[in-house]
Amino acid sequence: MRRQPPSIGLVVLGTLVMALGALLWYLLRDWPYAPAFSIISLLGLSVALAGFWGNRRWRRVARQILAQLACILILISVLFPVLWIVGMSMDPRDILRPLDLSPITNIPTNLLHLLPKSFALPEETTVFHLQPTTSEDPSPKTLIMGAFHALPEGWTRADLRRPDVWLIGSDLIAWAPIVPLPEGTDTLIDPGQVTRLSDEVQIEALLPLEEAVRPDGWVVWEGRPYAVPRGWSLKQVGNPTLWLLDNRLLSWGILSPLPPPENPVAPLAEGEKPTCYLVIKEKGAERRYTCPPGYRTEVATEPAYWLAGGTLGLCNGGQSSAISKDNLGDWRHSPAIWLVGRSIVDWRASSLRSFASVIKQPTLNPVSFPQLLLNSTLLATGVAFFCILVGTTAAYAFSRFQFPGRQAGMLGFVLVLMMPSVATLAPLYAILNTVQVGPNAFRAILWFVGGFLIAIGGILFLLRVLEGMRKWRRRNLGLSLACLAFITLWGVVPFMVPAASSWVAQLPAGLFGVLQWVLVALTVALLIGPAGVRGLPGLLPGVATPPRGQPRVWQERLRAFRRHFQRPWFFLPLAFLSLGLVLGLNALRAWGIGGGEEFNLRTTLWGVGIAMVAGALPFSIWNMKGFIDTIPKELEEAALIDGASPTQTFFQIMLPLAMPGLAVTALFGFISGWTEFVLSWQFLADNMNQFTLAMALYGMQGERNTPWANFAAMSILVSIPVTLVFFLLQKYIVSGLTVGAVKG
Amino acid sequence: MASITYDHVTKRFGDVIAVNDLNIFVEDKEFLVLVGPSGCGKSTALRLLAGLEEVTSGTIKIGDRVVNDVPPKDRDIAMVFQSYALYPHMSVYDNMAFGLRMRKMNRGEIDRRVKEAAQILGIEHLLDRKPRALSGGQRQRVALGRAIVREPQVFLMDEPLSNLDAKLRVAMRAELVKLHRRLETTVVYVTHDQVEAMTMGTRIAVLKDGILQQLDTPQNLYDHPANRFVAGFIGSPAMNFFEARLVAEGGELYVDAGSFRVRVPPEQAAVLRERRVPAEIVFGIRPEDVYDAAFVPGGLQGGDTVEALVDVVEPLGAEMYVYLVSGPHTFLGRMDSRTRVWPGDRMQIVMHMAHMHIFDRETDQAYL
Repeated sequence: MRRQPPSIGLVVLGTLVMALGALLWYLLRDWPYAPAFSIISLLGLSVALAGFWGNRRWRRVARQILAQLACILILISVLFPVLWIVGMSMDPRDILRPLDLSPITNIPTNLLHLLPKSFALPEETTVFHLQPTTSEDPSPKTLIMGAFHALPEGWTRADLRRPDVWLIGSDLIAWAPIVPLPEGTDTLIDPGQVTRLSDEVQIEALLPLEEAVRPDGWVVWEGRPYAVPRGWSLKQVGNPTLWLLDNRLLSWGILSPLPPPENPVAPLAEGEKPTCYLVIKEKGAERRYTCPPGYRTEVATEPAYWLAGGTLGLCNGGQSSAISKDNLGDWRHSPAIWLVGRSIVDWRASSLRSFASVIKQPTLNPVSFPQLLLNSTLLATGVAFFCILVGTTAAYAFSRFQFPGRQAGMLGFVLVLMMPSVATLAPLYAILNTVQVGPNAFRAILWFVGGFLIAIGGILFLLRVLEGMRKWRRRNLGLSLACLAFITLWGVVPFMVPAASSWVAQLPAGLFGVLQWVLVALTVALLIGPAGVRGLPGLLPGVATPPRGQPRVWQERLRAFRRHFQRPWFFLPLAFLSLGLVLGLNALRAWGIGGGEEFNLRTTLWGVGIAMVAGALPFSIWNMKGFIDTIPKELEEAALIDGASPTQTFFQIMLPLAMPGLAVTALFGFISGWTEFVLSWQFLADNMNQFTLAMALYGMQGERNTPWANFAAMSILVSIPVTLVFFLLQKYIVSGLTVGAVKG
Repeated sequence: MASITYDHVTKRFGDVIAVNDLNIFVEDKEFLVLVGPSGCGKSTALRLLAGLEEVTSGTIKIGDRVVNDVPPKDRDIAMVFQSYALYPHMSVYDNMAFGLRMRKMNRGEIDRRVKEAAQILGIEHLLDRKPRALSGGQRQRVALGRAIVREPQVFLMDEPLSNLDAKLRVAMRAELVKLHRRLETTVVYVTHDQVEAMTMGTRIAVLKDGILQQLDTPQNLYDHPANRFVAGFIGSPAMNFFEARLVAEGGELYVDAGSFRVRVPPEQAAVLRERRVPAEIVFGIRPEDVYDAAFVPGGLQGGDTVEALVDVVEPLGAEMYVYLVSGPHTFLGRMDSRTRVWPGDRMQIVMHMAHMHIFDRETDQAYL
């Protein structure tokens, strides 16, 4: 490209952006994440550099960066003040009015209920039948679903954490640990509160707070204050701990600490009109109370506990204010405005405190915001990447190649699209759960050596293909079917499991493993295909030795072999991915990683990612196929004649033209990975370090008490990356990029 | 620069035979036009040569090299598509340079060739534009430019002018011929338009249903069509055909079409007798050889006149198409513009029998 004289405009604007980033950094230097503003400075620097030295292409990119920044700036500078004012104008009394202290109605869905009854269990599992018993029974017993059950003979309570299967009557409960009764307690677990516990859980008893006592730490449970156990501070109350209260076992982490200074609220006299009042619902009836002295209305929005009469009221900001009769239809309560407004209107004043608070500690779980952000980013980008990688290549095969099963394959995808993804939840859970670390060293070595050999074979095979790839063939049967096999493996098999298990009383434990290997073998066989049968013997050392006088035989055979492998190599990643995944997973299972620590694929982001990609693939392929179908074939033919190899044609002609389709697919993949919640909530429950932002957001919703300001701030923070990704891709999400390729 | 040989080339798509035992030899620097109605296999024949389709049987040679198993990029050919197939995401410059870049040519050389081709085609000012910012004619030129910069041995053109409007097509036709003269490259050109074929080709191959009908120079095709199909396809308006009988009477030979009877001139009669032509034949005469008796050119005066009923008259200014009816036959005459007839009139016409054609009724082969 030709050199351009420096562009003054770009250099000046770039410098300004650089200065803006530095200024923000300086102004917010106390904030621990302020260095993030250096990204803005770096963008500015690159724009300025491009303006000074860059060629046309770099300048175009620089202008786009500027345009994006300007868009975001305008958005912030116009929308934010407006929403700020709207938020300020919200009446806190609206937010305060109704108080809902109703009992829990929505019991969290437990995966255990979703599992098919006849599901295959891990080999090590022992199945026990637990018989119901009474609390008077002196023999060891445990609590399941709110009822006492006798332990099997020879078991003590200490054994109960082992992952075993328990049967009550004929119902399968779980193979998750079952909670033993704490020593000396005969308490009943609330049905629906059956929770799996991590090892660190300690059980502490909470004592009811006496009327006159005001200890340093006290917590509120169902409207009554309780003292924090001895040796515990208020901070620790947030820890994931099991609490015993009135002989009832409570779940952990949802006890909210009570702010210490409280004054009882005096009832409002007849006809009195105070500047501030609270409305508290007591047993269905609403009563009004004045604010305590020294409190203003703004203060009252603080999620706090007020003593009204003898009852403790819970005033959490705005839980149901949006549906109170007075402000129904108020434009300020439209979701977006309310969300932004609420995130700014904190309890003391309008501020960004809620943002700071959720970044500092997003939930009561000890997972930091950067960790959540990293997890979400990994999951979302991973899903988007694999959707594109597999989706594009498979869609290309579906669009361009003729092979038997093409129509049926596409129809299958459309059918899979129709299935609710929740249907795959349980089978995916079980499939991924099979991949666990075992202690068998012999198997590990076997797997490792086998995997190594196959990998070497694969590389040699790849080299052969690359070597032999001289010619373009339209019919790419083997590789297209290999894509099908891959997609079937992760996309369709999970759908088959529930269907199969409803027919077959007991699904053989190894069926899935067998199916895996059948598919892998199919992939390899289809890859090698007829060439393997015809050409391969010619390459064996003994056969290949050229007889004297006929030195060309070997070359002839090699050529014959190559002729069968003239295929674009970009389908190979698919096959090898499929191969590698299965091999790798099994090797992991046998060998173990992380120094012998327990590893379970299901409880990692990888597991969730695989499950998600499997669910998202049908859409990706279907979407990309539709797009690739619109790209004229002549363009590829022209490129072939122009001297591009099939691979170059794919990357230099097809991919740039398929950018809008790619962008849409990537965006959908990213969004689904970013907002994914159902799968990760079920799969990752044991592994807090793998939690994502979406999960944290859900976790902020308390059963009785939701910190709405924090929740609103969090949802805004969670939505920012998706918005940024959309900004990045929106240039491509326009149709008509191919206009001008062909006439008409 | 190279010759091209199709040697017994057959291409099947499943049960359909697209190209059936095609034998063509194209001389170096020749402009060969493949012409035929749509679906006749002409495009397939070209795509076989380009390497976009695989030959079912037979061999294709470029120069002395058999290219059956050679990928398109190694055949040293360039192709211009009907739809132009410009890469929409690249500028005109990049479109033209793409093929050279793929061949790892150095930048200076690429730049020189692209500039030169752009200059030849008069598109230097468009080099920075994207294809969508170009008009149809400009896109056509870019597509040509993309082929020219490669300096290939053979140019393949698949109906490159059919997407242009009529006026531009005529202009581009002449330009392509000039370009061919300038580049001195072998060109294989596919079209369904016999006017393009006649005006551009040094030789023309007429195809029908995958079978080569005739391969000859344009004038020979016009003067001596090998069969009834070629006779009807080449020339506009198409030749008139009459189911007729050859009648010998008093030492003279006559064509008897039932409603009229015309004498065969002695030279043609001698040839027909020599070839033992059967009595039942198809008689063909081109519209331009049908004259109004009032405006007969010098050599034809005194010939047999035929009376016919005027059905439709289409005055074109320079000439006039008159649709005539005689007994069961309808035919067309391309007459002098001074002719004054109206539909419903009866008029006297004269046929230029020296230009007559006689075809076999069964095989459609030409006797004359």
